[in-house]
Amino acid sequence: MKRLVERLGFWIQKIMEEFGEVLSFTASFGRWLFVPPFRWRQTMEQMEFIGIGSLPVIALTGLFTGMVFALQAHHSFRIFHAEALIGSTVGLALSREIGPVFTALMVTARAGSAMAAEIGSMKVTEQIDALESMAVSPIHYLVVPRVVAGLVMVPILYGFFLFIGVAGAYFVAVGLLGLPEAPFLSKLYYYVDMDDVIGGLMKSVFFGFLLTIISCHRGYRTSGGAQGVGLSTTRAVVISSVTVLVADYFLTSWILEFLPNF
Amino acid sequence: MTRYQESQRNIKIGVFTLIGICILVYSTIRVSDRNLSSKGTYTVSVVLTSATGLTRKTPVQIAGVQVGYIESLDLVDNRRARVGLRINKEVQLTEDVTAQVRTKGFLGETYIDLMPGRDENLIKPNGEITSVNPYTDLSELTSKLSAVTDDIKVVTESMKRNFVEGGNWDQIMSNFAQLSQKLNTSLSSVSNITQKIDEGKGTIGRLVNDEETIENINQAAKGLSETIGGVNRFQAEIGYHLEYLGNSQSVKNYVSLGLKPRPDKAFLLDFVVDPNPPDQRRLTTTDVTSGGVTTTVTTDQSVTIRNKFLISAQLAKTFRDVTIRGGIIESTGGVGVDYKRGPYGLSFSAFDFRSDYGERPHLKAFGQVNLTKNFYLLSGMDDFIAKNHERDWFVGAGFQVIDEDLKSLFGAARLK
Amino acid sequence: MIQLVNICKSFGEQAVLKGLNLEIPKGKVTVVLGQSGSGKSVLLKHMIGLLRPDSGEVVVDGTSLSTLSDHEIVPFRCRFGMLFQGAALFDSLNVFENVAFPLKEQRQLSSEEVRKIVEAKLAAVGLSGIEEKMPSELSGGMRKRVGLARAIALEPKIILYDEPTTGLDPIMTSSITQLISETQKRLKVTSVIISHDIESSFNIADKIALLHEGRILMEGSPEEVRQSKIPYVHNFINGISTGSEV
Repeated sequence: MKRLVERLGFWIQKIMEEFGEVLSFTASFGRWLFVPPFRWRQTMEQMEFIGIGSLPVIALTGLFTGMVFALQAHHSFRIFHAEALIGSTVGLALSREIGPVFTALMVTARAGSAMAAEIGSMKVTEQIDALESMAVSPIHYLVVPRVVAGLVMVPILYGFFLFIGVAGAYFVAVGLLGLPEAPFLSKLYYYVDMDDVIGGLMKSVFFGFLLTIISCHRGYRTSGGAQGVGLSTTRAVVISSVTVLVADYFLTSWILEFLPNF
Repeated sequence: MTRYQESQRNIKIGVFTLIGICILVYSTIRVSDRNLSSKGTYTVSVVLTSATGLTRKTPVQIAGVQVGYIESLDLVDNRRARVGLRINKEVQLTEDVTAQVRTKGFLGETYIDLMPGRDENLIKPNGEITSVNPYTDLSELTSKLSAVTDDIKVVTESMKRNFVEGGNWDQIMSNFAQLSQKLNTSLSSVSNITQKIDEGKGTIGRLVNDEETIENINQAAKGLSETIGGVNRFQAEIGYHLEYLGNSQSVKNYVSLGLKPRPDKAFLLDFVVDPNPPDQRRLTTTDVTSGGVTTTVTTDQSVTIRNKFLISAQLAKTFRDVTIRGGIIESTGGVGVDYKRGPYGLSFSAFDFRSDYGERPHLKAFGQVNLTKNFYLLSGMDDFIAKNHERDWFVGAGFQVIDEDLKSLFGAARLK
Repeated sequence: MIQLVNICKSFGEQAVLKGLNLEIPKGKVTVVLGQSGSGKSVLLKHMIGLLRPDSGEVVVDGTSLSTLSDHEIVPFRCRFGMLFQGAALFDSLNVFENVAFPLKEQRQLSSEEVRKIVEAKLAAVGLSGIEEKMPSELSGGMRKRVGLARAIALEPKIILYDEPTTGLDPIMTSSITQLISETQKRLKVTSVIISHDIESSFNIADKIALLHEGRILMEGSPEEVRQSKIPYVHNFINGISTGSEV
């Protein structure tokens, strides 16, 4: 029992330490964000990597999420003869929850891990020190472009996810299951609101920020060779994913408060 | 990276971002309420005694065509509901328009139906609809139905009491008389309702008399039972059989109910009417005082109750072809084992282990042949090690249905 | 001139520098010797302000580093060039971009001027014509030389070398040592070399300091060090193991 309490205390201490570190890391990101020059080239590079690079995986997950969702919804809604609501159910779920969360998780797995690994290996091979020795802030040169790219690209990827997911649901419902097209679309347009999409966008902006800053921070704190880089990568993905899911709850309750129709 | 490659990349990012933004703008505009009407909307309100089942976005229809939706729901004077309706501008409502909350479909999807009047004057934006038709819906009928259900519950409860306590037949009969009177009134209200339904009054009436709806209900129910079946494979069996007892020349009736939460486990419940149960012995001691001398007289009474109600409640567990069961058998403790292979079955039960007067346990063994899935014949020995007259042989017949069969039995109603 | 006064530095529970005092003379080559893990790199990083001491002071040309904020320290670093142990070339940039990096960051120069300087620096380290290669395509010695070209790109007043010859073959070692001493003569800079390579150190050093257990055990000219009677110094420069070092 005593050991259990000790372990618990240890974990809480770890979590608080990580939290505090990320906060101060965020603060230094904030300080460097508006320091000129803005590094367009690095930012564009990261936008290409996060945005265009993640599009195939986002398209694929979006498509199949929408398709399986339609299939499952049809299976359950058939009981109540409410097949017409498949479109709106998929639309609501994708726009409000699944879209932002899945997009963030996929980007974390693909780009967040790569960021942690890249910055981590730069750290252990002293490239970060080299940057500093040449009077270039690593935060300014490495972190700001990545976080800005995440802030811009994750919401756009969310848009693709949503569109492709609903298209997948449409394909399954109308194309494969032979449900009429008109109720699918009309209920979709009717029950999904502008606020749903805007709420989803707000979430994905936030998630984009969280996952990039956490992944960069983990990379930045890497120590101890190739093993350390591996560990950082794993922890970046785990911490980012968990944070996204936890933040999702609080964001949802917060958005519910401020968007009347969400 | 050359300048050319760099500009190529920037073009790629630009196109990507632009497409993404277009998708987002398209999505938000497509789903925004603006596309409900190109000419804009206006609001009117209506005060209802109950807004049960109404939510934001509930459709507002005229003659089945959607013309708007519910925008807000508020409480007025702490007792009634004020419902704000957003109506398309091209739809003009007269001042004597009547609003009614209606339900459609099996799930009771609600909507507000507006019936335009003949008045020349139009309701102004932010005006109020004053004429409201009462809320006729399922819930009214449902509450009547639930009263009936309560009566039935009372009936079954007292039936249970009688069966379990094994009260005598007269008492049961008199109870039944009372109960059936109750049932009569219940049934008359049921018949009232069904009459209404036949006439197509109320939502249920419309539902039942609408072929399409019936088809929908059937489909829905089918899916539901499939789902439930898929999840836990719960099975119920109802059966009846009789045994003609050769020696006593009487008939013993069994009504049985088996509940199988899983294929290898069952709860078996039998109601038995035994025409010739073993005698009940009773010792009475009476003090007889005669001429100052008190003598204690012990009387040994043997009581035979004809047509005694007995109950069996057993838990059973099946291992391949063998089922072991135990619990209450014919109102006493007992155990049994069944063997079943193909259409043939053998059963053995041992119960009533009382031996106050040197009685032997009640043993019963019989064989069974299933003629069809539902009908079977059986024959065997009852109480075959008893000392006295109760030793008997019997032949019998019975039927058994499982819930799947019930569905087909009930045909059109389809209690699936 | 760099003065290190009473520097203490710990990482967690482990005290690496315990009240270290050292003076680096201007325009000379100072070699800091020490066993692996004795804190030489940590010492070097204190000089450029990559690490800050727990207590004590680093004074560079009369300016105390501890009085500078994170932002103020940035222009100060332009006086330094640093060659890292593994060269620390940026993986994502090719050789030209690596050498041009400090120029683009710190100087307002036309791309033509940048090109000229980069070509000159690469020629100075004997590596002309490899501008388009990526660091991963280079050998260890080539990387160090590119790293040196990058370190001298801004023509710094002070150059810090972190184990410049570690992991190189003998020929490459002497070629790098020669390069360092050429650079020294040509640019008239203050050089600090961290090393455990005794032979090449004695060849180029004006001053040698021996770091042991978080302090400077001995400092002086190569000749003084060679003559030292302190047992550890004697053992260290002659490579004699007493079995108690580990």
